[in-house]
Amino acid sequence: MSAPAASPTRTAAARVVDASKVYGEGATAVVALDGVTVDLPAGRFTAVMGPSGSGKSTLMHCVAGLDTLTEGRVLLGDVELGSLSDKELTLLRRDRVGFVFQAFNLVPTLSARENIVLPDRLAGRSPEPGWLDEVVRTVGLGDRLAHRPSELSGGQQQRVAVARALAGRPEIVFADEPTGNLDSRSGAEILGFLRRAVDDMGQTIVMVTHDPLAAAIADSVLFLADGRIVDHLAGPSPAAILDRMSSLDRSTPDPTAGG
Amino acid sequence: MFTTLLAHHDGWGDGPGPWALIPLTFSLLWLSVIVFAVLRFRRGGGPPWARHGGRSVLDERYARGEITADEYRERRDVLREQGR
Repeated sequence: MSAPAASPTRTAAARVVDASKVYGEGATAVVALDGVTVDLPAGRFTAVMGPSGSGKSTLMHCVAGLDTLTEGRVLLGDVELGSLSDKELTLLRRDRVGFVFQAFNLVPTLSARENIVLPDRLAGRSPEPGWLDEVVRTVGLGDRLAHRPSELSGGQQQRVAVARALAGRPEIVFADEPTGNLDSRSGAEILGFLRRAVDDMGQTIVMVTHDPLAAAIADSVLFLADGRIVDHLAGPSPAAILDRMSSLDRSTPDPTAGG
Repeated sequence: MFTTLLAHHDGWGDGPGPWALIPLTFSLLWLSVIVFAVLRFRRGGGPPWARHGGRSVLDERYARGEITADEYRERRDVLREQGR
C-alpha cells in the first residue's frame, strides 16, 4: 500500500507546456514566449511579474484563450485550448474563465448589478441568488447595485468587475493589472477581495502586475524575462519581490542603451 | 351621448364634469409612452427588443477583454449609427 506523498502536488487549474509565441516573421519576428512550462495550481493565488516586454501579458492571454500559441500546449482543466475552434474557445471563456482588467471593462449603459450578471445572462444561465449575494457582500457593493459605472468611483467600478468575474463561479480568474488604475487604498481593497475569493471561496486567481505590493498578496510569484520563467517565489514579501525585480532589471539588456 | 348622459346628472352642475378628464388622461398616457419609446430608441442605439444582437455580443466581448475600451466605443457608435 503506497502512502500518500508528504506534500501532494495540488491539481493544476491550468497547465502550460513548452509554450512559445512569436509575433511576426523573419527578421522582424519578436519572441514573446520562449519555451514556458508552468502549472498554475487550483485554489491558489499566483502573481506573474516581469519587466515590460517580458511576455507576462502574452502568457496570460494565451492561458485565457484570448491569444494562441505558436508552439506548445495550454490545458485549462483537462481541455487543451489548441484543439478548440474559435466558437468552442468563446464558449470555454464564457463558462470557465473570469476576467478583471486594469480599465474595468464595465458596460456603461448597464447598472452595477446588470454588469455583474451580464456573463450569466448572455450564457443563458440564471445566476444563483445565494452565491450572487455572497459575491456582492464580499466586495461590499450592497447599496450601489443600481448605480451605473459613471456614478461609481474607480475602486467601486473595479469591485463590480471583481464581482462579475466571480459571479459565474469560473474555474480560473485572470486579473490583468487590476490595481493599475486605482489609488493605493482602493487598490489594497481590491487585492483584499481577490485574496478572500481564494481563501473563502477556493477560487483560482492568476494576476499579472508590476506592483510588488500587489504581488505580495499572492501565494507565489512567477518572474518572467525575455519570454522565459526565470524565477519563482513562494509566500513572498514585498521586499523579496522588489529585490528580485531589481536584479532582473539589471540583467535584462536595456534596448534603449544603444550599442 | 356620453356627455349628454353626464349633463343630465344633476349633482355635477353645468358642463361635462370630471368624466371629461378620462379621454384627456388616456391621450396624455399614450403621448408619454410614445415620447418614452422615442427617447429610449435614440439613447439606447436601437429599440430595446433589438439589443440582443450586435450590442449584446459587443458587451460580452468587452467584458471578456477581447476588445479594448476604444474598440468597444468605436463599434458601439457604429451600431448606433446603423440603428438610426
